[in-house]
Amino acid sequence: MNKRKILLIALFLVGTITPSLAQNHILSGFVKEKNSGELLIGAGIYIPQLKNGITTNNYGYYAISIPSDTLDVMFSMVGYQKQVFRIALKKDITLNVDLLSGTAIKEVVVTDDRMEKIADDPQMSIVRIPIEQIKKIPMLFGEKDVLKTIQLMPGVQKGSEGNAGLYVRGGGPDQNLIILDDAPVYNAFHLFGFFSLFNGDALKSVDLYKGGFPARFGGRLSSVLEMNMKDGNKQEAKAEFGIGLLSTKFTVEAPIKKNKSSFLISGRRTYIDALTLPFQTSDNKGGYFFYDFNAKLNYEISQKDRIYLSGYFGRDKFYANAFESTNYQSTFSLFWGNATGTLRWNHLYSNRLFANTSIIFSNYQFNIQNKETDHSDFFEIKLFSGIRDFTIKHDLDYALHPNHTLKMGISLQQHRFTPSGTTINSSSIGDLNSNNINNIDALESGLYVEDNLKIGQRFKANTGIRFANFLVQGKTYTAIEPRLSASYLIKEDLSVKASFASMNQFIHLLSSTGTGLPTDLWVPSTAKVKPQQSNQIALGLAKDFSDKNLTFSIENFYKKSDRVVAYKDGASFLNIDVVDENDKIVWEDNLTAGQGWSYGTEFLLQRSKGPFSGWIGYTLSWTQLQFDEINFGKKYFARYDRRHDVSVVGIYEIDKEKTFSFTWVYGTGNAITLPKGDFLAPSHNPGSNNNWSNIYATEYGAKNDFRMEAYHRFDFGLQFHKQLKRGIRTFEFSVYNAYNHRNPYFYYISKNTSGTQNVLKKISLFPALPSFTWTYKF
Amino acid sequence: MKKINLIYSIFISVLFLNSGCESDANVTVPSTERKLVVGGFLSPNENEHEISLSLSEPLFSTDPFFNTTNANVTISSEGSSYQIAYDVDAAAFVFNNSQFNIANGKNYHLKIVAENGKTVEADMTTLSDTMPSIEEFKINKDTIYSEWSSNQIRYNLKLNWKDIASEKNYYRLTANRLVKYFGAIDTTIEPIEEFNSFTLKDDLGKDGQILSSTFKFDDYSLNNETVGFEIVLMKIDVNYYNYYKTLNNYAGEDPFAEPVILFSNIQNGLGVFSNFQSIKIRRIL
Repeated sequence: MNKRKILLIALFLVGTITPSLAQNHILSGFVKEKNSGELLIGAGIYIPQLKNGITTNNYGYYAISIPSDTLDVMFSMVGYQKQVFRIALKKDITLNVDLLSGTAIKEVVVTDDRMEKIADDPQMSIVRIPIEQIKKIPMLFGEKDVLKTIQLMPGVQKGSEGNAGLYVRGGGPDQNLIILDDAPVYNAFHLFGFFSLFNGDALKSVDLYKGGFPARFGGRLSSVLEMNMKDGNKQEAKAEFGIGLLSTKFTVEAPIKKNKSSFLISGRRTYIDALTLPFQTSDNKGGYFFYDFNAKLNYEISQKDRIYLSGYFGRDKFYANAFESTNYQSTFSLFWGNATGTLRWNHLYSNRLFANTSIIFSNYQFNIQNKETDHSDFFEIKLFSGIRDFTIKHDLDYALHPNHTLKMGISLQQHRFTPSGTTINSSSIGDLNSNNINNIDALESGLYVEDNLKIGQRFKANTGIRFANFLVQGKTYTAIEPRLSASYLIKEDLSVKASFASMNQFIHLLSSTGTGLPTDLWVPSTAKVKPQQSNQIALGLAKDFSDKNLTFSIENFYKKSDRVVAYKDGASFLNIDVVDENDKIVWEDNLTAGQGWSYGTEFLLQRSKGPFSGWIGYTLSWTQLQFDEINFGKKYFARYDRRHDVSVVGIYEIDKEKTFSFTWVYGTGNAITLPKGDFLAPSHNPGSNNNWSNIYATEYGAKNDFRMEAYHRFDFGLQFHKQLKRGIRTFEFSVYNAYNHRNPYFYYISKNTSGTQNVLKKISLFPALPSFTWTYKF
Repeated sequence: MKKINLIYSIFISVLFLNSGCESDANVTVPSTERKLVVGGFLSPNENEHEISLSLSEPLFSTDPFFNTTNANVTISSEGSSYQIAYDVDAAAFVFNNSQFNIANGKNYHLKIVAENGKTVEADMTTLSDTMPSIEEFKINKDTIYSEWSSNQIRYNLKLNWKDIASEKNYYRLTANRLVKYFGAIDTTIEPIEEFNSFTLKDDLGKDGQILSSTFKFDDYSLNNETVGFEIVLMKIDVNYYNYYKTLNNYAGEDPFAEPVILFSNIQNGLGVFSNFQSIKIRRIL
């Protein structure tokens, strides 16, 4: 985009600020949940006379510039009772509003607010799932999982059976920016990807952007998953305990100083290791467990200043210890996990200008430790890899004008990549003691401005631009990323939407398995490995059927990605040593850069309110890749190219005591490269006695030219709620894969029963699996 | 590598512990036929030429085995052709320049018809007779620490050559050690590269410039003496290069490796029909 075009666009935007600023006043405040004081994210504020509105930001704050007049102001949010105020606006007014939760009233009030209409929202390609719905959808082993719920939405696919990884509009799992209270989370999985890290009990909101990315987000090509933790109840102490087949969990929240300060602590731990303990011998012990822990503290210093301190800490650990005699012991452990911490300070410079400053820490480490002790001698080796970030960011929300609300910000992120580290301690071989750590430091920065603008009564848009910069090993990459997401109301409840987003990704995940192994390595762009880049356009229709509480949307998207990275043919994490004996980085030599195309159509029919809620989603899509060094430079379908993807989710509140829920999913099989035969590949031996020899080789067709079987599954769950003297008890019975469909996890080649012919066999992970969970909330 | 094997073992164990069931795949498997596999590495500066022929083994079909030694193998160029006979000793189809000349800068066509009628064909153009000039062949000797025994000798070999300007060139290099075993009279030639590891180069972005290649050899042999080294520099055609490039990536049985599809210029078959020219540079220590 040249300078002249940018100037013209700027003039056009400024030109929409036609009325005098002096005639307007600011209506601002915080929107909270009535009984807990929890600040509400995304609550709608709508002024019918002006046909204009906004939503609260991530801290529950809103500010809207409106002309002096007597106006009705409606506050609403799905699951909360609407409130309407009549205001004579002759000066700036602060109006803090408490909304009553739907769970606190007899039935969910069916509201008819424009702000809840998707037709009126300029943002497209966004998935918002209420946390309460996540808790009702049946899941594997009864473990409620945020990421697996998101996989049920159109445009989002899972990788393989049971895997919590996200493949958004053809992008890989490394192309998702996952942020928890502003902190990036680099490995979002427990147990090799079967469960995600995120404990729904500690979360307040979950938003997934698949396209049309607002300019405040950057650094990944395919999606942004933004999660915010609950602040903690400011009114009274609350607790929730849950016991399931795999884990037990708890959440406690309480005020420290009523209406001023509160805390929340939430934790979860599996007990597979404890259950297997009786079956282990005294001289050999081993096991696996994971746990995670969320905590948050907030304090309202004044009406203008609030601080929040939040953190996450989680670990997965495998261990095996052998005690062969009193003199000889061997211990082995493999553990990995994330730690994040965020300190945020909200400050109101004025009613118009809201500011947040965050200091963020994020660390992901994968470790292997092995120690052998023999009498007084010992040998200990520790291997580790990881990524650690320190970030500082400052964001501003500015209510400029009735037709313009601005967001601006700057961020500075210091990455330390440790693709490989080794320490050795030994009592007997002193020369071997070493501490060899290969760190790569990088600095990533971003500067953005966004404008939520409205032109006339029908056109709304979120426009923005982001400047990104990445500095590594003396090499600097810069990028300018224009963003646009717009809607035009054709009718009151029907709009056409369009979006464009340009994204750059400066860090890459080395992963050849796609299964979320902890060995996957994050590495930076270097002089040799360039940043990945993508441009995505989307065009769609959004329609509200208010009388039926239904929304319907169709989105067509086209995404072109450049310099996407992949392992070269033959490369594998088993043979990638991170550096060679000369400390030369070799992972770069195992990567190749190419192009990606992803396009398709997504349909979503959703009902968020009423006793029967849920959605039907369908995606028709194509994802192709092209690398000069793979498949002889020809285009091929990506492994997770999925022509058809269907999900049906239903939640039925039978009565106050019973909830029935179900999901049915169907997806075209993954595209894989299947061996077709074996042969002896001739090899030329110049200068030797044998001019040629043979190498045993496998015959394949083209890359990913074989389709696995289609995947489908039906799950259901039944929750029984009972009001006890002090609190509510919920018992859930659910069945995963209820009709016991044997979905393939992987294929292998074996002989038939008579041993005469090869047959293709499949391994299926999960047959019909019933599970039980029990929770008590008081 | 120890780390990786450990993780791999654990991952596989977890996978199988979780494996609910094993059953036949409910999907149509590719029914491939048995294919002819051709190996042809011809050189205009060699007198005798061999074409190897074998059969692939389809995984999911029972396409019957057939004899390849009686196949009709014909090479042709510019209107003349020659039917190559099978040589039992060489286990290949062999001919020499007096029977059919392989010359520089010509197009050659290979056609093979098996006893059951299966036919494969391939084309190639032989390289020009210009060879790159050798600029330098250096051998450095270092003493390095060994985890396994006493200090050992490391030989670093470096060959510099000048690329032929204004043509697209591909190279393959091999390095051999000249060895004298204690008690033996003759010198033995042994390759120093690892098995299935091939050194390839191209002149992309370096047309007409000095190219170089290095080899390393750690000498820890106790029953022999290194008396010298030689490097064979081959100018190879694009078919040879593409074939070896994919063969270099071949990762064997690693289940996590990205599958390697071997290059082939044989229509309806597998393998390669290619040509090369070589120079040998030898240094005695």
